[in-house]
Amino acid sequence: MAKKILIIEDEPVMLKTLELLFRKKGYEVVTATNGKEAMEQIRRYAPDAVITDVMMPYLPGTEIISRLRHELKNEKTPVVVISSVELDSLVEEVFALGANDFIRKPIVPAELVARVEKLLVS
Amino acid sequence: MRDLFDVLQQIIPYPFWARYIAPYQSWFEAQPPFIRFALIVIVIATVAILCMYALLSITRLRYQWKQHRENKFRQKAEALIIEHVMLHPDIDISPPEQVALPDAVFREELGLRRRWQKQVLIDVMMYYHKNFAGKTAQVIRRLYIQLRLDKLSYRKLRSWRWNKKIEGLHELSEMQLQVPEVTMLELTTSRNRVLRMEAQAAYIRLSKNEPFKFFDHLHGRLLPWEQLFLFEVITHTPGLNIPSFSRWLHYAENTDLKLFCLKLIVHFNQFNAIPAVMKLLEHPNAQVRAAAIDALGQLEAVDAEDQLVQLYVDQPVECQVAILRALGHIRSGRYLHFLKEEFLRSQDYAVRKEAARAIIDHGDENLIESLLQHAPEERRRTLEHCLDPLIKS
Repeated sequence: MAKKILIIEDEPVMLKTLELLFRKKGYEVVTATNGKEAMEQIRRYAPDAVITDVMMPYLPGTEIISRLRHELKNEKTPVVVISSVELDSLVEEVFALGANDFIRKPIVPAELVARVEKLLVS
Repeated sequence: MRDLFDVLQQIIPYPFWARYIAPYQSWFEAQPPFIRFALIVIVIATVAILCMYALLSITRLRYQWKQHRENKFRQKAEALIIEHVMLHPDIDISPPEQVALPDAVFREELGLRRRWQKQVLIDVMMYYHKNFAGKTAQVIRRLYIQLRLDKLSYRKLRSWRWNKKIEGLHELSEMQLQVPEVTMLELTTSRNRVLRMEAQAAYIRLSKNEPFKFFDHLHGRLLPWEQLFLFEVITHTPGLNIPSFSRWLHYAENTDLKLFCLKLIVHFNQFNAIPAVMKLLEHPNAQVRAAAIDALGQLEAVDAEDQLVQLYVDQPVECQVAILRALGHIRSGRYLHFLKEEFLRSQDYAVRKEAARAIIDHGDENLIESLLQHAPEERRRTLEHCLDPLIKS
């Protein structure tokens, strides 16, 4: 059975691109355009991996990770954060909250896929 | 007044005239002059408002129609890029220069005959080039050239409108295409501040050999905001050929440029520039001297310490504070006594505070303890203020 990936991104073009990229690789993809919707999708679909942006309406990516890890007590689902923010403090924060990887924009698509695949295998 | 009706009769179609206006002609002519004048004004204003509303509606409809047309085209372009570039079967296995370009598909599906079509496609490509790196970005760049979209960007550089020139510069620098140095140099000294800033940024990004050559031609002011913008570009452009900024400390007559170069020297830790920075200690402008002193401090130039202390007495407070700060950064310990004297003697609070900071930076616990016990009350409070880790300034 195909693994399920939740992509959370408020930029529609980026979201569509990433969705099709992972679909092509054989994953089942669920999407969300804001934090609120993302939490609903996590509860409904229990994805195998989450890819999230940081700056988003309603709930930022950091809050999603925090809720996933602490509220839903989900320690297993790997979370990959993508962001164009270059602050080292943000990287430290997302890892402290429980993210598994951080990728800066601009993204190398092959690298993103490889990192997600690696996390899913491990 | 009869003339006015004659003119109207010629303009307005006869049936309309006969039915709606002619019956009122005698009534209108019987009115006092100011009432007639007011009526004419009301009629003109009403007609003008109706015309404005009509024009506004037409403009809005036209704009909406254009937006709709562009959105549809944009979606089509995005779908093509996803399908033929992002999901290209060769993109993961072949080098980017060997990936077969889908230019024929783009021409066939998008037409690309109209200027607006080309512009929308450029915008979409810029978005992808900005957000995706690696082979994807390289293939998008090749496609941009193959579809001859660069021609449109180059043409914008020749536009008389400054915002078009900026657009062109943006597009060409994002796609890393060469722009003739003469053209860019001319724009880097433009009277328009925004255009000048963009041109300088583009020059840094695109010039392979001498990305800072435009510094030689900089005559006007380089405001703090512009310096910040350039600093961002310089520090975020990968693979930039960084020169020794000391050469502009010598030759440039522009004070702002000297100040900016001092910041760059510190950022890039250009220790070989210390002798050139020391020469600025004799500069007639106190702001330049203070910036040079600060730079020497941040570069921890031990050799400059003697000269800084010698200069101290004749300097304005701004430079004295900078000297004390620099001694705190250098921390050789040779002038700890001088710092203590200044801390106890000076009547200026800024000087006392900076001297206290410099003493703390030296980390001499015995001296700090002795000052806390024996210094006058006001001095002691200043020292305690500086020792508080929660107070930053």
